[in-house]
Amino acid sequence: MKPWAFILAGIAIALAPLLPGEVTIPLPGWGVVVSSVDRAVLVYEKDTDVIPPAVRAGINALNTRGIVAVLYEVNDSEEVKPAYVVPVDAAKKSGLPSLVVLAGDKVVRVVKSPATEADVLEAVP
Amino acid sequence: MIDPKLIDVFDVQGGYIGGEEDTPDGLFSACGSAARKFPKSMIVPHDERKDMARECDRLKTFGIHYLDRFTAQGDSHECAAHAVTRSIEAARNRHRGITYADGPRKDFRYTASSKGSVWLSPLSLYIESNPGRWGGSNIVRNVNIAQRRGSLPDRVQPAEYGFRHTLHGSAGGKNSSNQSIGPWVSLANLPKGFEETSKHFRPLEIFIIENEDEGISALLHGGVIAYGRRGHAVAVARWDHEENVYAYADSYDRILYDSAATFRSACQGAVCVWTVKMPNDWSRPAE
Repeated sequence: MKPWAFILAGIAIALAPLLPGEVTIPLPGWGVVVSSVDRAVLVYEKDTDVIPPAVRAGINALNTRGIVAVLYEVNDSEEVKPAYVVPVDAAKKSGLPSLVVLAGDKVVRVVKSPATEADVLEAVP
Repeated sequence: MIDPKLIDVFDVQGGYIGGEEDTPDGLFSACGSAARKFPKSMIVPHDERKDMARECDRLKTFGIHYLDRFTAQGDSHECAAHAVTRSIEAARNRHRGITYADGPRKDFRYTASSKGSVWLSPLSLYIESNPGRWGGSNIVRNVNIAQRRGSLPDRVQPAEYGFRHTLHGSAGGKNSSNQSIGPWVSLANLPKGFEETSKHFRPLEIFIIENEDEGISALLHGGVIAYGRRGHAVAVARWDHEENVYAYADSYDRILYDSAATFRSACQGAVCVWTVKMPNDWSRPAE
């Protein structure tokens, strides 16, 4: 692979969060797939965490931008489904409640205790 | 100014028979392992309620904004099943994170509903809560069935979800773009193996509402409360703090209101579904 191709791939990866969905950068002999943010999961526990209306409005706003943004209430009586294992683990490490922003299964950012609509929107570039 | 004729409308006999059974003790028992006391952390202090209500109205985050359709029970006695179903649907949409700016609208379908909203069949609960069809039921019976084996999806959905088992929404009313109707069926006539689908639409956590403070707080946090009073069960979804009345999505395609006194009385034994099963893929909610 030529040096300019490495540079181009690096730029593409750096810009990934700004790209909608998944983008393939065609390079000679080597297609580089760049994932951008496509999911956001607000993980909380109802007995200790209160989610303000502004945060729920922010989650809705992310959905209007094409990101699948959901609220996940930790419930120890129920097994965590595969789609939520990564965000729930990331949120628990950060402390609940946390907004976990993902590109596929890769955690892009974790925002602890978002309190405003801006906190939610700014978590996703 | 809300038309006084829309407040405390009690001339509807939707089929609610459960005042004596719909007590906190009865509801805790009926909800089994899903029963939860309303968390102290979620009680909104009196002096913060009006500000939070203004915020919910401005941002469209009351429970009513998580309801994307009306249901219609027609001449059936299914009201309690409709009320419980609306609470489940709102909880599911709140998890999904999508609000519907105008709440339920008659003969109107939101585009965003296709991103994961599932319309459930109240009839799928009612046929077990009252196998005799006529005479109605109560919140206790319907919420017990919902948490035990879940609801079936309506035949009409906002998207093609690939459900293996469905049922029409009501044995009364009329077909609409957001609900199907059909003949009365018995539980034995449900499609074989229907629980494989209904288990995906089962509440996991249900708040038992025991007083007005818990009721108002549930609404401010985006919940929808199912309760019965005077012959009709309803799904209360918003507090109008200016007129101090409580809006509900009536199971006759319309928004009506309960007075503060009615709300206070009914909240002595009500439910608010809080947590439901989350799908891995919102476009395949029964997998």
